[in-house]
Amino acid sequence: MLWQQAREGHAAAFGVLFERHASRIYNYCFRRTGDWALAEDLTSATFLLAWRSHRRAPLQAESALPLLYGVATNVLRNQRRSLRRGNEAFARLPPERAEEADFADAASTRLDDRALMRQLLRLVARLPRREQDAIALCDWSGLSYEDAALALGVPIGTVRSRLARGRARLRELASGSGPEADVDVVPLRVEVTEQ
Amino acid sequence: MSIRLTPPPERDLPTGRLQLRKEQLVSQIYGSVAPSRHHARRILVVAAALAITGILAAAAYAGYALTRSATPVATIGCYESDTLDANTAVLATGVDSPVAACTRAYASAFPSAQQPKHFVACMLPSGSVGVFPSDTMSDTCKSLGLANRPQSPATSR
Repeated sequence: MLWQQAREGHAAAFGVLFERHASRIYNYCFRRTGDWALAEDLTSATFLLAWRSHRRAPLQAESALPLLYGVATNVLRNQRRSLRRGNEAFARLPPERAEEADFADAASTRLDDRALMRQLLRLVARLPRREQDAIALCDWSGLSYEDAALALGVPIGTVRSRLARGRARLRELASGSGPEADVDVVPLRVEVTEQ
Repeated sequence: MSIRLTPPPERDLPTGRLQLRKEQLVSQIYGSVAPSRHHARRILVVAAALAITGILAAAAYAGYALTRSATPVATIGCYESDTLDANTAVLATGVDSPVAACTRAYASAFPSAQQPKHFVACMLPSGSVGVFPSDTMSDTCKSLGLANRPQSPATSR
């Protein structure tokens, strides 16, 4: 309903849609990049590109979330192009003000998150891209198989098999006994260098 | 090697940032809607103009079609002899005078037959015109059980 209203030109409906789903897309983008600031830009890019590319089509699901995850997955795959296409909408906003309450604590927490996420991403980057997508959508973002299938545009069975393979490989890699040479590595396009 | 396989917990986009991002996006999207609406309006105007042009063209053609002189005969049957079972040559449409057309075509259509002196046009049961060789000129149609074609006096060669 909100998506329909947003398509019909109701800016307020789009605003509600953004408020409702931005946080989940933001976290999804962070978990794929390990970068909070980049995740914020990519969240904007996701909403803008979703609106641009799907404003003429009705949703395939009741919620816009599978669509947004699908667009976000493509945005993550083509970060540079997506950000360029977003023009000024993706320009970084000014940093948060230091005097905001709990700023230092929040910043510290986010730094910890980033370190943890980047460590995990180094491992996940050894999986094929398709398995990375399945793990990020189902295990990290809590999407159902059905919604993940909608997001990726593949059958549900494909999501299940990719997820099973990805989980198994990830466990092998994490235990240090994985046959790394057998893994078709398609790394995420993220900057994983430590500060 | 021991690596935690679960990502850190989800964090909210800070409220202030959420609002800023939302306003920026809404401005970007719906700020550009205005030109799109103008564009849509232009498309509507062009479509309306094309529709009006199409209607005028259709009306003009309809007027022409209704007022142009009707083609009197579509096809005619040119018979080799004065029976309905005779060999028949079907002649093309748009012929003003079926008898004249049959007279002209007879020799090439039926080369083994002798060119009749007279022809007469009758109305066939199908509504088409049939042209028959005629010696009596007046009774051929009647003898075949057909009506004479209106305004088609038999002509001599």
